[in-house]
Amino acid sequence: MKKSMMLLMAAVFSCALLSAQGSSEGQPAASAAKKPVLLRLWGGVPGEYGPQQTVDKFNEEFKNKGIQAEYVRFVNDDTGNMKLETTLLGGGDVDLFITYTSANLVKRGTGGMSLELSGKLDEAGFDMVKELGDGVKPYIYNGKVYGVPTKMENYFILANKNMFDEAGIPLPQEGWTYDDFREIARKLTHGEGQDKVYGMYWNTNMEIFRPSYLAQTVLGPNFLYKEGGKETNLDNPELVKINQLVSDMMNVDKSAVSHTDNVTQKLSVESQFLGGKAAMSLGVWTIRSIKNKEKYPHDFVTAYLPPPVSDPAKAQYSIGEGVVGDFLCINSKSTHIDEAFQFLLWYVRGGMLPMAPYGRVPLYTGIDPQVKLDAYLQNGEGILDPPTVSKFLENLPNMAVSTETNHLPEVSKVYNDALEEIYTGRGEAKDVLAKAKAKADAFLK
Amino acid sequence: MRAFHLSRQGKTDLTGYVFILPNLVGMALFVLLPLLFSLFISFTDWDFTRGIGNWSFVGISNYVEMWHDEWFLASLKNTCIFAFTVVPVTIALALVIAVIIDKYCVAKLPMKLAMFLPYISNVTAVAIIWIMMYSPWGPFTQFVQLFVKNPPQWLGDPHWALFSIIVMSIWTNIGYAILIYTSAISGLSKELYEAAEVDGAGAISTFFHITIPELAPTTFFLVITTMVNSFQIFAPVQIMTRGGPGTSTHVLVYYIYTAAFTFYRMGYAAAISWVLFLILFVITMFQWHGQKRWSSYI
Repeated sequence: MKKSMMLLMAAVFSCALLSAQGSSEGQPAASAAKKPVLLRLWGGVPGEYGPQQTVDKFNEEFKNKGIQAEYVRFVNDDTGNMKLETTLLGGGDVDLFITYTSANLVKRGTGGMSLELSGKLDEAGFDMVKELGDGVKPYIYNGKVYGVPTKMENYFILANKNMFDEAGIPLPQEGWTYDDFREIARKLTHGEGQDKVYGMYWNTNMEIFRPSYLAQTVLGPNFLYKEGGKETNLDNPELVKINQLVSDMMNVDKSAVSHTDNVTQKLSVESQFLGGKAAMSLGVWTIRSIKNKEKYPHDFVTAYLPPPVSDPAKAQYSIGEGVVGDFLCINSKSTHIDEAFQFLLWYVRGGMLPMAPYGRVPLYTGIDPQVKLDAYLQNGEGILDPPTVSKFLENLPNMAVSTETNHLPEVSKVYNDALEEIYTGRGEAKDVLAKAKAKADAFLK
Repeated sequence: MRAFHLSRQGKTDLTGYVFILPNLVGMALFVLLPLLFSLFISFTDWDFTRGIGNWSFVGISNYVEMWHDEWFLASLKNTCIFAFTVVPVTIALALVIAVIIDKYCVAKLPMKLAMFLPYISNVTAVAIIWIMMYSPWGPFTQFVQLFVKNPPQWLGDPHWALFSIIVMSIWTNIGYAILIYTSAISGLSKELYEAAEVDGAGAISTFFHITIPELAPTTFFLVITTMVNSFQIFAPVQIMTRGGPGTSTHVLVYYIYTAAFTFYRMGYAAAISWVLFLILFVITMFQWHGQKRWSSYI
C-alpha cells in the first residue's frame, strides 16, 4: 500500500513538472480576438534614434485598425545577427526585421527565413523600381524580393570643417585623388602623444573592409571577384593601391590612427572624430551621434566630402555598397503576415520619415526631396554644413552594387585577415593580397 | 484478463525511475539528443540557415578537410600552447600561494576571498578591464614600462596577444585552485608534519616531501578540471581579440563558433567539436593512467 502510494506520488510529481513547462505557453485563443494584433519589428538601430518614433506614429495611425507594433533592438554585429537568425529559425516572436547587408538578405531569403514578397507587392500594386528608384534593381533577384530596401545613404567622408578652415585648406571637391587626400591628411596632423590630432581616422576596429569600397569607383560591382565569380580579385592593383594608402597613412606618415591603437583601445568614430582627435573619418551613419550633443559634446561643423579616387579618368562608378539598404523583411513563419505586410507598405511609403533625422533617409520617391533634406538636417543647426551635406541625398550616377556571394564569408575572412596584416605594417599590400588571393581562390574551386 | 503485477523489488525500482524521470527527460532532450545530432551532422554539409533536413552526406570529408585548414591548425596549436601553459603555471603558483596563506598569513579568509573574486567575476567584465590594463596607458603596460623602454602593444601584437590572454586567464583561474588547495592543506594530517619536524626536516623539504605528495589527488583533480576548461577557452578571445591579430589567438572553440555562425558550416563545426572531444578524452585518459603511478601509495 505504502509503495503504491509512493509510486502514485512520484508519477503525479513527474507529470506536474513536465506539464508545467507546457502550460505557460498555451494562451486562451478567445481573448486574443479582441486584442489588437501586436507586430514585433526587430532592427539594429537603437530605439531612440528613430525606430521608436516611427513605431509610435504607426500605433497612433493604426490604433482603430486593430494593429499595433513594438520595436525590438538587436545589436547589428555578428552575434546580434546570429541571435536574430536563431530566433527566426526557432519560430520566435518576430514579424518583421531589418537586414543590413545584401549577403544576409540573400541568405535569409534563400534559407526561407524571410518571406518572398514579389507576389504580395504586385497584388498591392507596389512597383519597387518606380516607387523607390533604380537603385533597388540589384536587390531584385530573378524577380524575387526577399526584403524591400528602405533607405539611402551615400558613401561620404566626414570632415571637421573648423580644422580645414584653421589650416587654410579648402574643402575638397569631387574628383580629388588619393594623393590629394594623403597630402591633406598629413597637413591636418599635429601634436604628440595623447594630444595628437590625426588627419584621418579609418574605423578599422569595427569596419576594416570599408576603406576598400573606395576601389569600387574604378572596379565597379563585384569588386572582390573576377567575372563569373570563380576567382577572386584580391590582388587587383586598385585594391593594392587603396590598402597600401591606408597602411602608409597609418605607418609611414602617421597621419591616420594606427590599426593597433584602434583594436587595442577599442576606438570609434565617436571617440576620435567627434572627440576632436581626427579631422576626417569614414561613417556617415554616425549622424545620430553627431546630433547627440549631450553624449558627444562638440561645437565644430561637420562637412561631407565626396570619396577620393585613385585616378579621375578611370573612376566611372559611384560607390553603391550599403548605399541603398535597410531591407525590411517579413518573417516567413509570422502568424500575422497580412498585418506585417500592411506595416511594410506603410513604413516604406514614408512612414519611416522619423528615421531621417538620424540618417535613414527614405528611398521613397513620393516624398519631396526638400522634405527629406529638411528632416535630415533637423537639429543639425550649427554643427552640419548644409551645402556639402545636401549632396548626401543626391541620386548618384552609375551606382555599383555587388551581387556575387560565392563563399563570401570565407573570402571576407581571408580578405579581412590580409587587411589586418597590411594595416599593422607586417607586409606590403601587393605581397599580402597575392597570398590572400591564392588562399581565397581555394574556397571557390 | 490478468492484472499487471510487479514484484516488491520491481516496484521499488520503478519508483526510483519515476522520481528521476524529469531529470532523465531533460538530460535526454538537452544533452543526449544534441550530442547524437552533432555526431550525425558532422558527416553532412549542413548549413543551419537552410533548416533541418536540408543536408547531404559527405562521409568523413569534414574530418579530413580540417587537417588541411590553416585556421584549424593554427587554432589547435594555440589551444595547446594556451592549455599547456595555463594549467601548470596556475597550479604551481596556486600551490605555493596556498601554502603561504596557510602557514604565514594572518587574515586567511579575506585573503582567500580576495584571490577567489576574479574567478566568480563576470568574464566579460574581467576581459574589458584587462583590455584597459593592456592599453598603452593602462596600468599593466605602465608597470612593464618601468623595466622595458618600449613595451609591446599586447593585444595588438601577434607575438604577444596569446601571452596576454594567458596572463589574464591565470589571474582569473588561480583563485579557484588556491581555494581547493587551502581546504586540502587544512585536511592534511598534522602528525606527518610533526614527525618531519622531529626528524629535522626544514620547510622546503617538508613542502617537497610531504605537502606535494600528500596533495597529489587534489592536484590531479585540478589538472583535469583546469585542463578541460582551458581547452574550452572562448569568451576572452571573442571579447578581447576576436582571434586576431592574424591567427595569433585563434583557439578551437572560437573557430568552431566561426565555422558555425560566420561560415554557416554546421557540419564542419560539429566535426571540429568531436575532434576537440577526442583530444580531451585522450588527455584525461592519459592523466588517469598517469596518476595511478604518481600517487599509487595513497
